[in-house]
Amino acid sequence: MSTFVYMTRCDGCGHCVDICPSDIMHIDENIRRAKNIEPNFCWECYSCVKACPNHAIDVRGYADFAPMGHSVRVRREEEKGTISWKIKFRNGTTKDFVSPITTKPWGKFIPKLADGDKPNQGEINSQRLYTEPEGLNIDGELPVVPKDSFKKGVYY
Amino acid sequence: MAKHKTHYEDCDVLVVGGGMAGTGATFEARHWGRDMKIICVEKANIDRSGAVAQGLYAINCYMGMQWGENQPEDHVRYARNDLMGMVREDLGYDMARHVDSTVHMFDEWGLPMMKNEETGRYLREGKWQIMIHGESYKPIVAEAAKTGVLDRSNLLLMKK
Ligand SMILES: Cc1cc2nc3c(=O)[nH]c(=O)nc-3n(C[C@H](O)[C@H](O)[C@H](O)COP(=O)(O)OP(=O)(O)OC[C@H]3O[C@@H](n4cnc5c(N)ncnc54)[C@H](O)[C@@H]3O)c2cc1C
Ligand code: SF4
Ligand code: SF4
Repeated sequence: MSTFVYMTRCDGCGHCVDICPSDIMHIDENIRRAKNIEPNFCWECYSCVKACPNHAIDVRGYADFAPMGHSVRVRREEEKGTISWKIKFRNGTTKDFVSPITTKPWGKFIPKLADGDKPNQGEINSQRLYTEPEGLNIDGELPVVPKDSFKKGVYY
Repeated sequence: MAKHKTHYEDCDVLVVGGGMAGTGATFEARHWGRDMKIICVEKANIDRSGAVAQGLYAINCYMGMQWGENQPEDHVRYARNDLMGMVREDLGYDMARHVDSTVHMFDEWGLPMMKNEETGRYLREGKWQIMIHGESYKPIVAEAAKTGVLDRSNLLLMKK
């Protein structure tokens, strides 16, 4: 369904406003608390829920299979590299899940392109992408086929 | 309504939309065009923008050429059958031959991939899909677009 905000927990910091891909988390001008201004455009992506430092955002379940009394809570910890979910069912059953979100210290293994060697003109003219052909882990070159071997279809 | 001010910028490469494709294209463009002015414009925050916002739990397409699992030709044949012939085979082939090196980069950057402990192969849940713990798929790729590229003064990532 969509997100809603527990007004007593929200301090109006705006993290949810910054992260929402749909731009539907806004700060109410009168009460200075966050609210979902367009609940039917919510993807339930949980980006705002994870970003809220006060755990003030929750997601309403669909009335047909989660009528009341359930809850889905989440905590994303970048330093630990984990995401933890606590799922409560209506009958009281709870399930906890913890999964890794990264295997390496955050951002440390991403190459700084500006520091690497510049590609030469021959490489620029080739059909390779960055790290190819070595990055394919195969013997030899990037596979190629002659253009005329493709089926002549509706687009040709 | 907030007032909007028009901002003019000239550039060599303009990437419109910083979803998975846009952030990847921005990173790749910087590698090949070191001195170019590259602008990626995104309407939301690239850490979560686009269809990967919630995280993904599979990479829907991986050839596994290094283990002889599939070749690009196999993927073209599959896509042609699946879509009853209505495909651009050249584009399908091109995507398929490059996907493995891209996936290997994500692995290197820290995306948690599920692997068979004995063989080291990525675990599959179908002929084409491999399984991942992908909650942070987009933040990891966005980090690449930012750290690999944003430290250069001639790249602009526009947030709303
Ligand atoms: C729920 C869901 C689950 C999925 N699960 C999987 C999976 O497990 N495995 C898998 O491989 N694939 C999965 N997919 C598919 C995959 O996520 C998408 O194919 C992929 O993310 C598409 O990337 P893209 O960059 O082409 O488009 P998008 O990610 O849609 O990126 C488009 C970008 O453009 C921006 N934009 C749009 N209009 C403008 C504008 N006017 N100005 C500026 N910016 C703009 C948007 O904000 C967005 O960031 C899933 C998709 C969904 C929706
Ligand atoms: S769940 Fe996603 S789409 Fe819905 S309000 Fe939160 S960030 Fe926006
Ligand atoms: S992130 Fe949480 S505390 Fe901050 S404005 Fe949004 S709901 Fe309120």
